Amino acid sequence: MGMGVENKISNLSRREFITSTASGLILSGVAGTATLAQNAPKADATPRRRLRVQFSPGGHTAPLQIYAMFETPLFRDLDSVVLPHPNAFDSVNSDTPPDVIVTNDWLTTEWPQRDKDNMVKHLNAGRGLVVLHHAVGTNDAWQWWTEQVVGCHLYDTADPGMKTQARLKQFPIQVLTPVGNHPIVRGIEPFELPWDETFPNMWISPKATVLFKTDDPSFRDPTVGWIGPPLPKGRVVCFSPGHTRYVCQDPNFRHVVHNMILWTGGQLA
Amino acid sequence: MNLNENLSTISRRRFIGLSGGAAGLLSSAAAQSFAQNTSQEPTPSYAVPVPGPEGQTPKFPKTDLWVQLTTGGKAYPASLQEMFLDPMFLGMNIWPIDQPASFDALLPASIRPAPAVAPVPPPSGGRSALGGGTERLEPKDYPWEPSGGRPHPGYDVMVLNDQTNWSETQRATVEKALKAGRGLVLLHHSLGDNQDWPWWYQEVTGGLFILSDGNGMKKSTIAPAGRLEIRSVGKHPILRNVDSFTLEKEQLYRGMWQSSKITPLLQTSHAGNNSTVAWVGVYPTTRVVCIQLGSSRETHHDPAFRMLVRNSILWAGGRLI
Repeated sequence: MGMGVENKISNLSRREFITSTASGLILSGVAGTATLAQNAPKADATPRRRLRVQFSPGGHTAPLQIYAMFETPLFRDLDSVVLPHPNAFDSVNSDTPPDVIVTNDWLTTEWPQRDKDNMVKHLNAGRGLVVLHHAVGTNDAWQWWTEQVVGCHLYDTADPGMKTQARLKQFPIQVLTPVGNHPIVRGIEPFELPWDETFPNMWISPKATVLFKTDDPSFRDPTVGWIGPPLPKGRVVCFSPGHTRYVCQDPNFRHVVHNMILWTGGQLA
Repeated sequence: MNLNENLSTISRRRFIGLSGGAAGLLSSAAAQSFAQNTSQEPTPSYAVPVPGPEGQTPKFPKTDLWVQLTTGGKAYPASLQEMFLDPMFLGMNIWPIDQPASFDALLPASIRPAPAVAPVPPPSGGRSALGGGTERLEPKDYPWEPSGGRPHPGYDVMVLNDQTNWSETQRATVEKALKAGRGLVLLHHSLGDNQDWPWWYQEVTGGLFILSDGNGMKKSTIAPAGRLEIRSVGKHPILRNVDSFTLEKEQLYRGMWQSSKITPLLQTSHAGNNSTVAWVGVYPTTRVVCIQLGSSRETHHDPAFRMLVRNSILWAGGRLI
């Protein structure tokens, strides 16, 4: 901090410089594509329609890199738009509704009724939902949402004293290990995630299907990626990392999010 | 155009102009000019030079220009945020915070409300009284991150691309921020902000994309993306390295209300669009720039558009003289 622009460039490590530039963005995307090519299940030969993906942030500061992720080569098989609040989910009533909604909003109490109704309609239509970082704390007062859809509370409701700590704890690094053989994690090896904000005191529903666990010993429940409780229709996946610019431009993070979008959109089996 | 094409086809001078090196050069040049020109215009309170030893260039309180980027209510491509990762924006700390957004960090620290969640005090080591687990926060030399335990340094400029009617709280905060000299850059969708707040479009922005008939104004029209040839008007600092250019896929706005007091920056002869597509707003004591452009991925990738946005932010933040 406090350095001039020229000094800032010269003092950056090579890795930091690359990741902070547009060229780094491209390289990250290419790296992510390469990882995907190695790890993804064999593609179905049948041509598929490009998934319409809506990214809905709002209510909290977020790094540019989480938006830019949708413009990287890895995500170019998707038709993505950004549509923040208010009335972010009115799009489900359009002629071309989103196949998958990716949320990273932070409206901790609950959405307005209009948003709730639209999201119910979206899920009842059998479409997908990916819940990233901030959004795992959204709709904390909407019981159907926390218990039946996302299957989590940001903090353990049995221990309210944990609430503040859960929001702010950060760790220098953690290793995420895939669990099981679900299409989202298939072929993915354990990987290090850069510095991030974590939620170590979350309550995760026993009905959730665990996808990723952290090696951080202080987590009450080490689950950081999971599929929500089964719904009659619609697929819901949650991934609690995604706070810092370092994580949001990490190829492994992007690979996981991309897999989650494909699976919730019915294009990864 | 994609990035690779840009790099291979542009001239060296153009490349430097588009690069972060130029941002640094212009920043230091702006700092020098700032010292020479402070008598010509009111100095925003946040940009008062910090006195240094005699003979040295006065310094800004912050090296980087801090920018809040707020969108909401309308869909757009993520290339908008990707644009700000271009090296030409080095020297700016740009943070998206979308609606429902707090504008509190635009206020000077002296009048800024305390954050809803107070920053975490430094750990005392081991397990804290808050509960189990380690309490390690960001290292001291890490850049600022949200909810990272360090107070927000405050934003100098707000860039808008939302299309909403702000809450009373938001309006009161922005009024205070403007009085405190914070800069404002409006992009595309945000020309439709605050339809029911005449002070905003009559006394601040000098323009409004009218969403419905009423108050003696007729609804503006929007046409599908088309080719838009644009020419610069005058010699404003924002137009430095921005010559005439053509956008191949840009939405057309017709029937926008525009104040007679605005200072045009860019104009078009396209019959389906208002003549003026970028202008300096009318708020008398702080810097406001309005840019109708910015609807498409193609526009966000256009080097001239990027330079226009970059210059507008620098100028609104008092860093381009």
